[in-house]
Amino acid sequence: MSTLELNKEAPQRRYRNLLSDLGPLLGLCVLTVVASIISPSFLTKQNITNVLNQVAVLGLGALGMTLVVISGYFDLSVAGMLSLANVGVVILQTRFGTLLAIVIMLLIGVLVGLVNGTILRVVRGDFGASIMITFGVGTILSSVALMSTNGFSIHAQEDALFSWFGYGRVLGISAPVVLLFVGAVVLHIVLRHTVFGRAIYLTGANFEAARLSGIPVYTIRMITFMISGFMVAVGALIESSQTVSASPVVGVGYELNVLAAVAIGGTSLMGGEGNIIRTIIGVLLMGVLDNIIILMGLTTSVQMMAEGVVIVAAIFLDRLKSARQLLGRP
Amino acid sequence: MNILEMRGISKSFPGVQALTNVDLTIRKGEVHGLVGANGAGKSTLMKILSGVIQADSGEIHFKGQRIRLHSPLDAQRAGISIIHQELSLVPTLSVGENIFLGRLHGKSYSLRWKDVYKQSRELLKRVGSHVDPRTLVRDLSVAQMQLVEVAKALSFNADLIIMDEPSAVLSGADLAHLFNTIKSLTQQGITIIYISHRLDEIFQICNRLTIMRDGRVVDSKDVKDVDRDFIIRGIVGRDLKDEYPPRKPKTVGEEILSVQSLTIRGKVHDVSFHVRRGEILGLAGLVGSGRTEIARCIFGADRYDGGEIRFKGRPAQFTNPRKAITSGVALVPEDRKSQGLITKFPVRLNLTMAALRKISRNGFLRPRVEREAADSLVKTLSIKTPSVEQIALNLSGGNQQKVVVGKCLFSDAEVIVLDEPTRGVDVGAKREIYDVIHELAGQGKSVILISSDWDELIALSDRLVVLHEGRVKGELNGSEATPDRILELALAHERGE
Repeated sequence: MSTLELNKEAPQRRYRNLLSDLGPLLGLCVLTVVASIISPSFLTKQNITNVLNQVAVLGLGALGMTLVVISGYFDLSVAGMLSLANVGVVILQTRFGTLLAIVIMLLIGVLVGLVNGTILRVVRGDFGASIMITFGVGTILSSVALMSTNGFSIHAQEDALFSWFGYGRVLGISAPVVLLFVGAVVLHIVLRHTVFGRAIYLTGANFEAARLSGIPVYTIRMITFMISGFMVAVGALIESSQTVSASPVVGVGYELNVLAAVAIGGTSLMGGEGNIIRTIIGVLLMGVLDNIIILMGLTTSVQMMAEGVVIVAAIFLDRLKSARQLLGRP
Repeated sequence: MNILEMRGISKSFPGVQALTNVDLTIRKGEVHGLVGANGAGKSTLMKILSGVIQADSGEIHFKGQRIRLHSPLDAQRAGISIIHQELSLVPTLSVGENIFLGRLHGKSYSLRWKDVYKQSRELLKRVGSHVDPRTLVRDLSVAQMQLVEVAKALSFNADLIIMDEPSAVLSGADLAHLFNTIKSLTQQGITIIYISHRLDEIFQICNRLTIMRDGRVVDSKDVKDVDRDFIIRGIVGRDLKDEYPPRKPKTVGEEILSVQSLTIRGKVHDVSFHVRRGEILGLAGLVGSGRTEIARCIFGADRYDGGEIRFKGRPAQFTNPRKAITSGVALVPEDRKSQGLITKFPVRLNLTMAALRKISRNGFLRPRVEREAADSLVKTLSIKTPSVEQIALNLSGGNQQKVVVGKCLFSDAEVIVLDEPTRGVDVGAKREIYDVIHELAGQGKSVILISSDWDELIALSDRLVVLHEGRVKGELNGSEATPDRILELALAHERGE
């Protein structure tokens, strides 16, 4: 259910929404052109693959977060979840073997979502409560991750299955990219074509109206948390496989990068609108930006500044547009 | 003497000509009624007069001088205050602080609270309110808040006060009190512009009235020279045969839903009633009588402390709205914009949202089935919209309300609770909603109707349950009920207690 389809009969709005849909895409194109001018190596197959591999972890988190945000909540526990799953799989690997370790970590991802959702249901939490509760849960997870390795990074045992997440290939495409692509397609279909997806939009757009229309609003939000937790756990597998190690602080700042990617793509942080395609554009935008900076040989401090500028600019332009829309309406 | 002359006011918004060459003349000390359908331009005109928006062309003369209003502050300084339908008080501040908000006495680092409260008390007295200015606004009733708004307007030394549909939230005694206040204000030389959809009030309180339609003024007249039909003709632009559909003899079926000794602590006490198939049951009472609370309990939206609700002879375990809906009970909530509709979504999504199972198979949506369902609901309820893809916000109030009713219909409800279904809906659209309600009852559905407009309630209901302060005070047959009878019942035992 894209906004384009929502607004078939309202040409003015459609025009505006077209702009908001195309704005981030335009930004991505401009950035790509700039990148290829600055560095001839940008458009090589090797570099493109690099960019995609590097955004996979961010992208998987952003996909899950998109659902949470559309439903009207935030999930800040993704940072702690990423750290925990990252070290968890490596620790569990030695005891249970790789396959079981992976399965357990994915289940824990879902379980964390269940916990988030259950607490928020019990306290009848609003948007603000979701920020604090998931932040608290995330902090606990971070702490567990730190405790389980005494704060140190640990080495992973490489086997075929473990390496696949970081370096495997399907039809010549690298596994992280395939996982990101599959996740995007599945969640896109869920949002657009299923009752559950429709319920996510209804819940986020007007919680009370949705509740009074018989939508199980808290359950819907709980499931989005479970999906978010699962996606982050998959991201963590890629992360530890790519680095053949696990760090208990890998998730620091992850939640805000994920939110930024969602917002830069043009999904409203107030809920009720947005889609997967926008998020993918937002993720790619951040990936290309990082890549330019690395290609130019600049430092991470410059990288942080550029990211900051892009985030502020994206939200600023988006707000400016909606402010104008509000004022222009009779 | 004319206190206000607006001449040749025009205003257009992108794609809409909201006002065309509007003239409005208001005499000093009068209560001037402003009536018209939703979208007739009343609000736009009043926004211009209160400085919220600026006209494209035209002049405003106030107290003999041409004035230019660039902001609400300009208007307040000139002596024009507006009381919006959505009250603009800060709930967490005291009455006195609200009245002098932004203009508190003394220096910013040392306020003279005594003066604030003393002057507030005087202003409140002028509007006939006895609330303590130190009370927090959130602890007041809606009626009391209205009076605080009036007091606030007076604090600006307003010569002209615009009241935008105050009766939308008041009824009975509260409304009578407001009318007394208005009368005493006019005696103090203050002029009132009174906007309302309820024609009785125009006759009751106004000296003159102006009728607007489609962004133009149709007529301005002395109220004593016009009758109800004249006004309705002016508003609707054609003859509207009858305001209410005729009462038809009909047979009602067996009892379908009953409320037994329902108790909500502090709000509803031991309330019992029942509704039969094909029956329209009116819940009459003032705001605060527990009507809405009862409705929400029946629907499973809120919890109750005691008593039982029985549906089809069995205890109804509606712990949430979802269970009520799947059992066949639907609610058209009090506030359609925040509770009934998702205004930024298309009509289609709004119509189908209470019965997603009917437009899906195995969890996947079926776009064509949904589209057809929405189209057919639009046709059945004659919802005026260019298509089902139109954003609900762009529909008129009456048509928005029909979308909410359509949503309930699509959920196959057998009992439909309508809470203030015609609030803020113009005369023409009201009649269409009445027809829909009759149609529902004709199909054997049961309707529980809540309304502050007692004429409407009496004209539609087969039976009325009179509530007062959370208690059932009596029952009336639709044909024998009158507003006086309702009030009499509601207040019957009060004097004795």
